[in-house]
Amino acid sequence: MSMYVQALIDGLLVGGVYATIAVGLSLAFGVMRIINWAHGELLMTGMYISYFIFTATGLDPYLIMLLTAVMMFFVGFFLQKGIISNILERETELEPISVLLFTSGLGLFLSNLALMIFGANPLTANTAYTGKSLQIASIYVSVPKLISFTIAIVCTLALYFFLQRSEMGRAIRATAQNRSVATLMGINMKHIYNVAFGIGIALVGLSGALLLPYLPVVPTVGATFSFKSFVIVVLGGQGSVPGALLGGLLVGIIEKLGTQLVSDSVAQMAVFIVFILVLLFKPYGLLGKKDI
Amino acid sequence: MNVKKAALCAGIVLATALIPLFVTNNLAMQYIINMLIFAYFATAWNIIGGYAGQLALGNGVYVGIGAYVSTILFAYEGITPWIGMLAGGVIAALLALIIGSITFRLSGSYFALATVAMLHIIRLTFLSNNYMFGYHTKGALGISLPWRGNSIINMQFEEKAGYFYIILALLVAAGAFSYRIKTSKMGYYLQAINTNPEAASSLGVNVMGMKLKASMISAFMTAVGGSFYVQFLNVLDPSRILGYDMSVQILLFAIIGGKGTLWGPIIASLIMTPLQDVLRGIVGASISGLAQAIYGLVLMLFIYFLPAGLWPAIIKLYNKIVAKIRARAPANAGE
Amino acid sequence: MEGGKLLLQVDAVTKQFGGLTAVNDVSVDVNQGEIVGLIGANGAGKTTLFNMIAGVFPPTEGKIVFQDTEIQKLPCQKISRLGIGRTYQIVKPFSNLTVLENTMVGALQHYPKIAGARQKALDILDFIGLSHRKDVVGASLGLPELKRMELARALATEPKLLLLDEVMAGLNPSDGAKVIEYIQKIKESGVTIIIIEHVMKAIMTLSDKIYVLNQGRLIAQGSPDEVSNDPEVIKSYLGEKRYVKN
Repeated sequence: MSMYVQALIDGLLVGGVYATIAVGLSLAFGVMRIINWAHGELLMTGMYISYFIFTATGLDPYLIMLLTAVMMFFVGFFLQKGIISNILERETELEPISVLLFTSGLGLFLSNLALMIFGANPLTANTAYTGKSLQIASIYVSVPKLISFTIAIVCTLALYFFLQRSEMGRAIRATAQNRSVATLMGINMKHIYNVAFGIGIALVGLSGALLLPYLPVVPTVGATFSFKSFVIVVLGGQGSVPGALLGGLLVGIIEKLGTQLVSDSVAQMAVFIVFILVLLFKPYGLLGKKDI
Repeated sequence: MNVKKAALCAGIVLATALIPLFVTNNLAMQYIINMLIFAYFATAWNIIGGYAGQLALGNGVYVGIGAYVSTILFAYEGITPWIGMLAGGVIAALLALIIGSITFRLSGSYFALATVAMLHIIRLTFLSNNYMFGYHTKGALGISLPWRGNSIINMQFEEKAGYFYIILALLVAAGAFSYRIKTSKMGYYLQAINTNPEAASSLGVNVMGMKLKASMISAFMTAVGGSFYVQFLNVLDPSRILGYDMSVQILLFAIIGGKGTLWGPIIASLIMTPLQDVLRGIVGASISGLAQAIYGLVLMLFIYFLPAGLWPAIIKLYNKIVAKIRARAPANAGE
Repeated sequence: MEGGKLLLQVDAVTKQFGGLTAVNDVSVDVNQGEIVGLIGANGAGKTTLFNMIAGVFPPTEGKIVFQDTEIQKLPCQKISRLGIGRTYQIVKPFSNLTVLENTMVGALQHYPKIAGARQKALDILDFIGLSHRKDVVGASLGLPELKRMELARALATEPKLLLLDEVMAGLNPSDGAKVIEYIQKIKESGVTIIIIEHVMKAIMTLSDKIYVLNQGRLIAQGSPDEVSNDPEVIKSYLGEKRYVKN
């Protein structure tokens, strides 16, 4: 019995970080209708950057996360501003497939670049938190997972309040709801797109540092997280921050509990099957159509 | 197709058929066969991805189906891969019907995601089960094809030339069939669906039916290719055959070459497939990932600068040059 | 002039979208060979009615009968094949295809061989005065030609009933006058037409009878004279005089 509780807790802890990773993708899809197929590879980039800052300076990963967040914000901002916006402009469809194709090329490029430079061997960061765990009753809680989870939740909540209360946040939500009206209100849509995308990638960069204490860094980590993020976006509903949180936790739980109950492969399959079912029956996500 | 074009195509095919007479290096033949295989896959994908405009990112699943069906029948029932190929094709087409009925209700990006989810579901099923339908498929270990002797009926050859002629024939058949579709009622309807499905529907086009038809044709062709591919490799490695990378590779060149065109996928595959093999030859296996990184870069450059693809750009250039020559000719001839 | 036998009967049709009733208990009779006009303010439910006849979505209540067959539950492509064609308020061209190819997509319905479809398409383009533009790609056309191409495309399916949704919107008076000529030509060729239009002069000239919708309900019907003198119509249109002025 306690194994299942253990798996449940584990699932929640990793799920929280999944949510923070996925929320940027959700924002991009909700505001701009673009699917960033390289989302996972940008996470991979964030992880490698965190790893190297750590090995070079020995800085605490929870400080490194601030650096990677800022760096990746600018990466995202300029990716959107300089490249994606130009592709978007040419598209006449509501949902631009070209961006999907472009970013899949980007993902392919980034993951193989990492493979070439760093090789396929997993890199583990030996941080102060790595491998430590707390014992509560008969449950072992991994310390780095707990800290990362807490920070992830704080960030997600911060994003939520940012979108609800701040002027920029409200502008982003307005643009997501109705582009033409937002323009009439004088909102500089292009700037909004750049900021929204930048925020999403900043969170991805931050998450890279959050994962460092307990996940080995490999070039293929991108592929795993890309699809996981898509599933979370669909489960939670595009553009919904609370939805991304719910989706993240759900995916984490299905994974860990599923592996404990049956097997790793079956757990993964369960995630994909749930994905298809939600796409078919609840296309706006489990929470239904919501504004961000 | 006018006579001049048909003659040109026939000429190209005949010239290509002579290759084994001049190329004796086994490795070179392997590279060439690889080129033809991916040109074939790209042509098959083009029917659903190019003509029908549906971004099926998970079509690699049919490569796997074709591979497994024909391999199981060959290894465990002793049935010739020629029949195995057809069986694989039919099963793939049926699977496409089921998958399509589910996924075609979704729009653009969601459709693409759903096809990838389907791929992963099937891949995981094969990887995690040692027995499928009563046959010992050995999960992630895959199946090694038994050597039953050098013959056409076994589709196993000691010399590469045998494989070469089969894939060349398949490619020619695929190209001809693709051309037939493009210039028929189905081709026009698919283009209409691609551009504006609502308007197409108002003109009597059964949008869902057409998409399913295109998907089934594409799946059948892809599965046939999958069967051939494992015969050629002599081993079925599920992480390769049902892998996401394979699924991307069969469409990558169709997109770079120009989806929706006949020659685009073929030309791009012929140019880009050898890259992997050649690079490995030059820099050795130590720089793994270089070829894929280049593919990713090329895809990005094309989507950004030449979204219609390589072939339309070549045609445009050709027409420009011809127009310039014609503009000069009257001045020369007239005096 | 009253037409021949009853071709289309819209019978007490209602359409609700969630809490909004877009069309409320509307009945329309269309006889063979007539031109029936459908007028009303924006949001009156005219295009919604068209969409139901054309099979885009089914009515919440009521039936639609076309040539003795109930069609309200049929999908678009089946309705097209039964003989109902339509154009759209906001044009939907196949922008990558030429004018000829666009028209061929329609023609292929009854002429499944490419050569036959091409010939039919050429005939239609001739009829509608677009032959000189047959090889121009949709994306390069201006609005008046796009509207005419859409008309050609629908005609190529050899419809018995044609639904025209604001074919004249956005056109200047001289292009508009040409469209009126073409519509009359189409009527003479035996096609029955239902036309939604805001250009009053056109509707009054063309229609054999007119139905007036306001906020989803039918508020008047009759000959053009009867309808233009109807106090209800005058009342609800006083506010819409801006549109009448085109």
